[in-house]
Amino acid sequence: MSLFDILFKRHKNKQGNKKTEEELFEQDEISKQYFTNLKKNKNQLKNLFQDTFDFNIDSIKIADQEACVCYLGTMLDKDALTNKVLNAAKSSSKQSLLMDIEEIRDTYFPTCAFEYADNFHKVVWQVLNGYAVIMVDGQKKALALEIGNKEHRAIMEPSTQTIIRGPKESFVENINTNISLVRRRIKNPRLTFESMIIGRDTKTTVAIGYIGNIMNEDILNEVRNRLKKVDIGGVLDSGNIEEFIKDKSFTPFPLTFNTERPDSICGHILEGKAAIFVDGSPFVLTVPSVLTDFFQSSEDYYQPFLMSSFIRAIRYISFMVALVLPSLYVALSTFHQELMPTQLLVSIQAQREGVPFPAVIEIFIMELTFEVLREAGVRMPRAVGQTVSIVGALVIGQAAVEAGLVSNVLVIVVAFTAIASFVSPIYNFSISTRLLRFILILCAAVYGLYGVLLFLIVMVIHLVSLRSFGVPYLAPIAPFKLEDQGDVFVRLPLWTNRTRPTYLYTKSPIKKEGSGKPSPPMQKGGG
Amino acid sequence: MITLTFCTVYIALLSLVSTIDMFIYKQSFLTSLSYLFMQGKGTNEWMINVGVGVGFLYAIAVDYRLKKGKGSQKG
Amino acid sequence: MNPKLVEKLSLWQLAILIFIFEVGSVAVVGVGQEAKQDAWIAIALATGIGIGLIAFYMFLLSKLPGKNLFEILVFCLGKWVGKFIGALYVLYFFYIASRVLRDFCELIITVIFKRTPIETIAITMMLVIVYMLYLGLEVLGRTSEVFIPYVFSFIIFIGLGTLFSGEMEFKNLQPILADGIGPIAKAIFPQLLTFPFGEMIAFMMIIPYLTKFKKAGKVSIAAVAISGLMIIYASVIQITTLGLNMWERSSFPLLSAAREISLLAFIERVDLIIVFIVMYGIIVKVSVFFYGGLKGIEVIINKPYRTLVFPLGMVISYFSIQISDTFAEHIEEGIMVIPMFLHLPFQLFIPALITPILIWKVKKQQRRTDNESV
Repeated sequence: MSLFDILFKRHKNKQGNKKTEEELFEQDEISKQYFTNLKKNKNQLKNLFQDTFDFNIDSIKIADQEACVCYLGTMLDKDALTNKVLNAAKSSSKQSLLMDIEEIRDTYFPTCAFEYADNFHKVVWQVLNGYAVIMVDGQKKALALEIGNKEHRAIMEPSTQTIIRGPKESFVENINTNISLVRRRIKNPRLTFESMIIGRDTKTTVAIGYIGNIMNEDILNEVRNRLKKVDIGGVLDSGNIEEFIKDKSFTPFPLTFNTERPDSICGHILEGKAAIFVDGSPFVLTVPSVLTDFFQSSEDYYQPFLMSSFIRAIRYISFMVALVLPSLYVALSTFHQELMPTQLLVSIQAQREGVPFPAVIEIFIMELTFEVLREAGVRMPRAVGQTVSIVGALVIGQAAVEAGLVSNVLVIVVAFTAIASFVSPIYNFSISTRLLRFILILCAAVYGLYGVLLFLIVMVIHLVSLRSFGVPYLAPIAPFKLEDQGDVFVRLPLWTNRTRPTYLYTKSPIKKEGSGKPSPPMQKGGG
Repeated sequence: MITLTFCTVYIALLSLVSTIDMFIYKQSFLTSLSYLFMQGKGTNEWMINVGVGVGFLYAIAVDYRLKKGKGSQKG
Repeated sequence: MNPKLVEKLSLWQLAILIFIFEVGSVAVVGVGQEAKQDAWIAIALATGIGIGLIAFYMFLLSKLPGKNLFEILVFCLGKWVGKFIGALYVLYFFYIASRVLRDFCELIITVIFKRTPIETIAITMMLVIVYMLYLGLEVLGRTSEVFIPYVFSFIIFIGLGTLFSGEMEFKNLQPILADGIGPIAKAIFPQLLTFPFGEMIAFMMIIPYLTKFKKAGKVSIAAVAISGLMIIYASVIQITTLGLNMWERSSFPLLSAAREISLLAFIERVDLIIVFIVMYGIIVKVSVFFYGGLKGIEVIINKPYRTLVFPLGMVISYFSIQISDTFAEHIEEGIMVIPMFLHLPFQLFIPALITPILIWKVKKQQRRTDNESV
């Protein structure tokens, strides 16, 4: 190989365009050639898989030809394999016709899902994927049969995004199951799933799901391009992909939406967004996403609209509370006592009398304690869960106050902030407020309310400048779209909602014709 | 170029402000100019001076980078 | 990327910007004191003139679509003279920007931070503006879209709040036209004419970058009319709540008026609301002037303005402190010097002077292209 070749290859690798199966193993220095000689192939495979205990090559005879089955024993159901292949070997033993590989498949494995592998990379790929590859001596192709995987987690109720009314299924780790969960809900031939393989070492299957005649072509191309550009060693969760396809990394706000609820993904796909499924992750991403997506839960559409609108208002308010309440406390109690009603001020100051710290330190201690407790609550083994919650309640609550470390009001502030921050339906949006809250407390400590306002303005400027796959993050608020307002701060009845979001520039902006307003049956005249 | 613009704007605004002061206080141009540079007692004018200084350094840095960028493009 | 997805300033954003630009600072500072209790009449008349002014500016812009004020100047007066006048405009814009910034700093240190150094406020405020302009005009428009509901409803709220707190005395508005037209005319000319309406000249740097330029005229006229109404509303609140005497003496009358609000024995001291309105109003105003100046420099030196934002922002914060030692001097300059020697020439005389040249040159150009096409 010439130097030029090496350089050229390197360059190609850098671009990370290893997407088709044939090219997958080029970087691993595996030769690509598939021999017609069975022995050579066997040796090649043996060299490659060497010491792995679960790699099997079983020699068999099919249609009087030398053949072998190679597979990873841990990846497939051995009983099913034995059944299928043994049957084939048995029934073919009576015949002495020479058959080529296609005929073999047609005769002996008519119902199996299969694929032909005409080069060695494909063979390796299929073996790794849990297929059983049948190689027959003297044939130019190998036959890869899908036998059926063994273990999956069953579809269960969602654990992070629970709802009261609505479908209770949630995605699992297997990408095929996940796609089928979506397909079952949207029976539309234009629902397309494009798959690609990402990750140099993990070679994870990633699929983009969208509806062809709704999704905007430019946004879709952008999604494809960004996914193609992802060059990463291992993809273990959709979170890995997320960081690569964001428009901007340096932001506390999530620029892609993620959920483990199939109904919510379907809703997004129907609106004209693209869903990104990653094998091995129960969290599916949708792009482009806007800020208001994170205040909407799929349950909003299953509840009466008045109630949903009210709940949405609660979400927006609690977002603001989670963000600014601690800093307001700091600003008001240190800088602007005169802004509080006198009675309130007196009671707050009376409680703070014995507290040895300034308000900032006080609130920092408590917020940090709370963050520690929260993290402990997530990580600890379930068995000791009780302990942490009891100790936490004691530390954060009664004991701290009684010891004179913090004031009662402050405990209320911290507790309410914490609860408010849990209201957001999407977890990784609520964690963005955690970071900002600390910055806001600092601003309030330095500049009081002026600092808080200043930081909020900077935050809005930042939000406004963000884009998710070219779509302004704050759409449809800024830029303001009147048509979309029916589903932002309030949710109007579903029959009024006739258009898809305009900021997505969908191919078919109208969801349905006519108003479809429900009305009582017409009374017969004369009565 | 950036530095030049920066200095021009700064000097021009300086003379505009002192001209206006000249009319208000009926004093000579130079007196009002010198008042501008005097640090008032009890004020924190050093802060804005630092601000302008940082701005000036930034302008120089940008100019330097632009020049370097151009040079490397040619070379 | 996809051009369809990249949005420029929309008409709605322009209207919002004009509204906040006009109302933000004026509603709080209070204008038209010369007209005494008839201030609202003076403002109404001035709004009429303001509409005329913006129509005049739009007329100039429509002659050369897509060109901003500086390009028009260069077009009319030739490269060198045009650029020189343009440079004067740049100075004017920067100077006004620092004055406006000073207004705000004074408000902050009188209202909420009596001991904080004014310089830090000027600098932090300017940093926010720098950040915003660095991200572009679009961001300014969209941020205003986010904040407009608050600015608007807060101003309305102050009126209702004072009304329901029982602080409004509509007798304070009487007698109407006690001294005839004289004081009103004095209030309009030159003060009300130039501030806030004449300052719209800065929008000649923004309007050319609209998506739908053709409708910009109507929209901006409507926006000026609405903001005129809002200013009248604010001044009526101020006069009725404070009474004439207090109103004339107060530096921030709307603030003083808002302090009278007391609802349900809980909603008291709503200063913060005022500070917010002013803060955003000032951000918009400084940004618009600053952007105008930067764009002007862009025309003069032919370089994108982005690298200039930070250094020149620091210069503006510097001069916002240096323009005057005390608030009294600041106000004095604002009344005595600025309207006559800066506002009037830049807002009226120069545009008026170039109008005939512009019309003549455009006609000449048209004739030439007509001849060529024939």
